[in-house]
Amino acid sequence: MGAILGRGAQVQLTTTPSVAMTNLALINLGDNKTFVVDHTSAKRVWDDTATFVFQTSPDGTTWSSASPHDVRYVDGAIMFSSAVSGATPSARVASGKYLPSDVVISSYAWGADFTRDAKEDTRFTANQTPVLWRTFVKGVLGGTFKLSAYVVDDAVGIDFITEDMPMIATMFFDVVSGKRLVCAGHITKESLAVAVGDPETEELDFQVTGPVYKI
Amino acid sequence: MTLTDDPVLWQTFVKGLAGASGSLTGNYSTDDTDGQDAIWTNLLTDDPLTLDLILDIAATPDPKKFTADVIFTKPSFSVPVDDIITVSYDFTVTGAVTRV
Repeated sequence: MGAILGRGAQVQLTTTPSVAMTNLALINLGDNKTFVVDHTSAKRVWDDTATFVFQTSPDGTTWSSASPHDVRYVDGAIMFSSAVSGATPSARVASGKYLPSDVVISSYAWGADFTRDAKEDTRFTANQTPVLWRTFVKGVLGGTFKLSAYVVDDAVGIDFITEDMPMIATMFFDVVSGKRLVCAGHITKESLAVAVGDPETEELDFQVTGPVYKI
Repeated sequence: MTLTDDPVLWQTFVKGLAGASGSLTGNYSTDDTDGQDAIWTNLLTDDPLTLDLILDIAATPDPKKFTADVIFTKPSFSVPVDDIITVSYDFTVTGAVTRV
């Protein structure tokens, strides 16, 4: 396929406090085990400190409580170990809370760098041939991302850097297809650039905390 | 130290271990299942990925290539509003590199 321009990209950051929600319908991804919130929904990022009640239904009408084996709070998804049965296997959030996500309307570029450590474990030979090639094992994963934005009357930058809690960042490659990276991050650095002849800009550096999901 | 009356001037070396690293750069794709998606999926596992770096796909009887098990250490995404979305991947080779 051809190259993709960034003109369909977008960045969203969560704000607090979280908001209560009830009976949020989820989309069946087809295996009857994985149910997700549509990527256009405002209720996509769930508050993992809130109490959630999930329900499943065989027909989309009759609901009963269910316990998924995994919940992806940062991007509204639940996974069951066995398929939900019935003619129309369905799932929903009976009750819970979501974190509102605001589009950073002044942003014009984002970048992300992830690292997986490679730790050397080259060892002495076990036969009569000397060791030649170095060997490595994988270490831990981490990452940072950067957001470039124009300075406007928007809730970015200095309003966020004082926040102690991590924000959930959703970085869309393309809002139409919904392809995106989602993670929690702390703003670690804000850089402002103000020149008389140019638009005022700011760059925000984020430290990823926890997993990154490529969706 | 010198074995003669002349002072040592030049450093000398012997060979040690061999290692390799590299990087890939390209345009981001939303449906590159066997490429970019496979690299991301592998990033989340503890296993290395076998990488073929093909020099000449049309060579006979087999394509000319380097083959190695690698650990992808740094996937990076760049998304500007007015340009193409690009990705790059740094990798470290674990074990031998073979040249076919």
